[in-house]
Amino acid sequence: MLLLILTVRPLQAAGRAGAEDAENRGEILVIYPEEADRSGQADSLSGIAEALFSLRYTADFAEAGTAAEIVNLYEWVIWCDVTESDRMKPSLLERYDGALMALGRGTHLADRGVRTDPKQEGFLSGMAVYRFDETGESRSSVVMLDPGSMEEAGESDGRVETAAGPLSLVSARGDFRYLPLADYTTPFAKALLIREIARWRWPYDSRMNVYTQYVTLSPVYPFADLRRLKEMVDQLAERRMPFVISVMPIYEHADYPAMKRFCDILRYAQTSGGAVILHAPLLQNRTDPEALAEQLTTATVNYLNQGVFPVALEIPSEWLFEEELSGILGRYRTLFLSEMDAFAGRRPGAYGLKDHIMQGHQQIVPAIRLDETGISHLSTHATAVYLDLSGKETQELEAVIAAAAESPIPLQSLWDMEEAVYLNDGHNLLWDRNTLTVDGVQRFNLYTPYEEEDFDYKRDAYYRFVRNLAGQNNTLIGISVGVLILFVLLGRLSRRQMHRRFLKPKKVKPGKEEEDIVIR
Amino acid sequence: MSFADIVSIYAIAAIWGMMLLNVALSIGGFIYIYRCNGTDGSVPLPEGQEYPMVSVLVPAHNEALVLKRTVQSLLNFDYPRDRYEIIVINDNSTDETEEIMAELAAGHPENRLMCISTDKVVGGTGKSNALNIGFSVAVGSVIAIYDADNTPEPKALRLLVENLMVDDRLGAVIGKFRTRNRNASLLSRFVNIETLSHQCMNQAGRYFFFKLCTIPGTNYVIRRSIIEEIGGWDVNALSEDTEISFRIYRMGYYIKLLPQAVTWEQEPHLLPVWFRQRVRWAKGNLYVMVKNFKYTFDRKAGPMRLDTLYYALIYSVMITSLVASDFIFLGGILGTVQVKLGGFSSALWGMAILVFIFNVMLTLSLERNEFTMESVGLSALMLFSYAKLWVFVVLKAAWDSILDVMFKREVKWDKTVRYVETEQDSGSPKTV
Repeated sequence: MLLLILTVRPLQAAGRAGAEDAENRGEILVIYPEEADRSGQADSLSGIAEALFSLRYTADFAEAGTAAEIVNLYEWVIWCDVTESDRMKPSLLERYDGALMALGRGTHLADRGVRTDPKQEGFLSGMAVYRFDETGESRSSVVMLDPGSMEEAGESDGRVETAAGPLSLVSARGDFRYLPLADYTTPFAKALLIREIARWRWPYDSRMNVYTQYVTLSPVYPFADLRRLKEMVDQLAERRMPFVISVMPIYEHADYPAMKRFCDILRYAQTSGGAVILHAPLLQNRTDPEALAEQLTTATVNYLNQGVFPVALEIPSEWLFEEELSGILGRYRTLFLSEMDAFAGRRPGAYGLKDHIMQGHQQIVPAIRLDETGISHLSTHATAVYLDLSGKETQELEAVIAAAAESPIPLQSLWDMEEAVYLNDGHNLLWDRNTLTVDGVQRFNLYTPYEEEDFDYKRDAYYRFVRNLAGQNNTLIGISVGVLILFVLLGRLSRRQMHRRFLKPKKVKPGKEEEDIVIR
Repeated sequence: MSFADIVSIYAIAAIWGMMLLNVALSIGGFIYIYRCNGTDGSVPLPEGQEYPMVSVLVPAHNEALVLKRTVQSLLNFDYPRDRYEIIVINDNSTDETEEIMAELAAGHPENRLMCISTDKVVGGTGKSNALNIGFSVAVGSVIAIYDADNTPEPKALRLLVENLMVDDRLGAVIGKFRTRNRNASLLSRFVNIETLSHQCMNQAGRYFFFKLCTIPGTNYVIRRSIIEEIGGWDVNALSEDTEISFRIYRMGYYIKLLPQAVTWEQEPHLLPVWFRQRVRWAKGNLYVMVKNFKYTFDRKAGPMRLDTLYYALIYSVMITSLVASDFIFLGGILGTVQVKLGGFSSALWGMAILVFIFNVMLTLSLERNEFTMESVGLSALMLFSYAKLWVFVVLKAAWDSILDVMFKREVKWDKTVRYVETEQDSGSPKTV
């Protein structure tokens, strides 16, 4: 697998050093309008950052006002004219002669051959149609602002059906590419952008490098329905589909029969085309990386002791931005990202990812859901098609599996790649050239069925105590309810007394009933 | 089982234990005050018996802001005018206390009103010392004590003395104190609820079950013979009231709570003032607890053994359990502490909060104009704010006490700062 290193760096945060220093300079400069990061367009920018991240391109983000001086340092520029920025026109679009991808408005792109139609000025909505692969066309409603079309014949792909007539969805000529969409936060727009950036950057006429997808069952708990898990494994194995199981970390009682039964299924899965990865702890202290590393070590060793080999780590994308966790992430060759929400809500100034965090990793990002099955139809980068066993009906899961199997995007097994995991206390797990070693000792991926055994739970002291606590809990609640009822009754009694003490009968007129008045 | 689990169990057991103890005291206190509210508290003296001579002692150190109002209230007692004297101990004041007293004495020649001014040589070292000075010139066979910020109700002194006179086993009779400036601030509203629901109700409960009370420092009468026998007030005690209570019980007397004898006093309405006052109280209580804890295991000490035990529980078990509870709570939020203990449900904590609020409201139901929805909100709020401050008060008091012992520092009386009240601050009836 080709490893590309991605870093998205903000020029505001890094100052000019990032631009002037060739070593630190990103591959692509993304220019966005002033104030965009403080408006609703920040979401669209985060979509662009996410697309670049998925493709593992390094990028620098610069406001239009500051980009004029550095734009010619870059061979590749993405121009996000999602709003007004007239003063950049002469300094960028007329003088810049490198590869340019323009997103959004078609105005100011006349010298690149883009023409706007007066009938299509302002906000324009339409139905975008694009063919991501041979399986058919994808459609999605989109919004554009002052869209344009390539005046002269160039490459074009897809279309936007509008009331004023059709528009090209993608226009290209040479190293210039134009996409008229204003918003890149929807799955369709993200997928389109990823695909088109990949095509824009691909320097050869030949077919692009094809990445693979990983069907991933996540998260899987030891207390999951093991029969259902086994059925799913059997079904995947029957289709000869490689797959991944992301298991939750277990710290204690790893020798209990329940854990052994769970690991029995996992060992079975490992010999049926599946690979196991470790899911990030749900309760973790990110400010204490040492504690987190200890958690990961304990959990991994517990699985290793049962013949289960977690060869990678699944993490939330937010972890990539945590400086303190870079040491931990550096211990894994492959990282699965369970969600891609880390860019959303950040300003371009906070998109930055350190090079050293990403070096040496192969990152597998979640598939963009282009259809109801969650299959992305993108072969531009490694994607994980996640299946949650606990959250879906069997039929839905089968539909996703079928879609993945029929997809033209190849499936790949983690066992086909080299893997490395380094843990505390010198523990390590290496998968290299079809040889599996744990702490330097060769291990074999074999399935030996678990046989039920009499297990001493040693519950006498602790569990009796906890069971007793549960009884105390109920007793205290019962006492509390009794006390509350008693308090209410006593309260009524005292209020009656207060009425007797501080209310006195009013002198009544003949024929009228007696009333009470309050003595203040 | 981890350390955090063990600490959690300790905190839960201690907090619930103390809470159920307080519930029991509240129920006993409720019954006692309910009964008292059915009478006016008056116990006429046997025919032919005269009201005893009473010396009302008022220690005053820089109390010019409040003293005039206090003395006027004392002059309004419905106690026979020729049977009581008022002795204000102007304890090394640097404000106009002396001038105000001179003016008041001149304006009321018909009353026995006198002021003893001390200088920094003999005075200015605290309330106990001032009381001893006042006591040295007092002529009454009964001594009454009022703080300089008090405005007792006219009948208060008569009720206290009448109840003292009819039972020879009584060493002292204490009344109830209310917050005069209840509406001054959120803090003073909390103090008002606290004085009613915890201090007064707690006293009533202990009296109901064990005939056990602690002198609150103001609005009480005590036999002269007892003061003479114990050699006056302990000048090393910051909580001279608690200290003298224990001594009374050891002498075989008991103390009675009479909630119909009411005084209104100014409570701190600013946090720094409140904090200093409460630290002083806590330091005093710690001193008394350490000094008297040995009596917990002495059968001859009578019911005061329960009080020393109660104080020990409050200042050891309660404080440590609250610190542990807060430590686990904060640790859980920060992710540094994980309690894996099963068996306890969130409903239990909800119940604890409800019991606290209902407990407070039960107490307030016995008072006029206190049983309101506002009080419900205040009691819920104080559980998570005001009540938490108590932990810091005790920790500061303990730390200061340790430093006092280590460096042999002289025990210093930190006087509560007074202020001029406005009409809006008032929580007391206008008739007072």
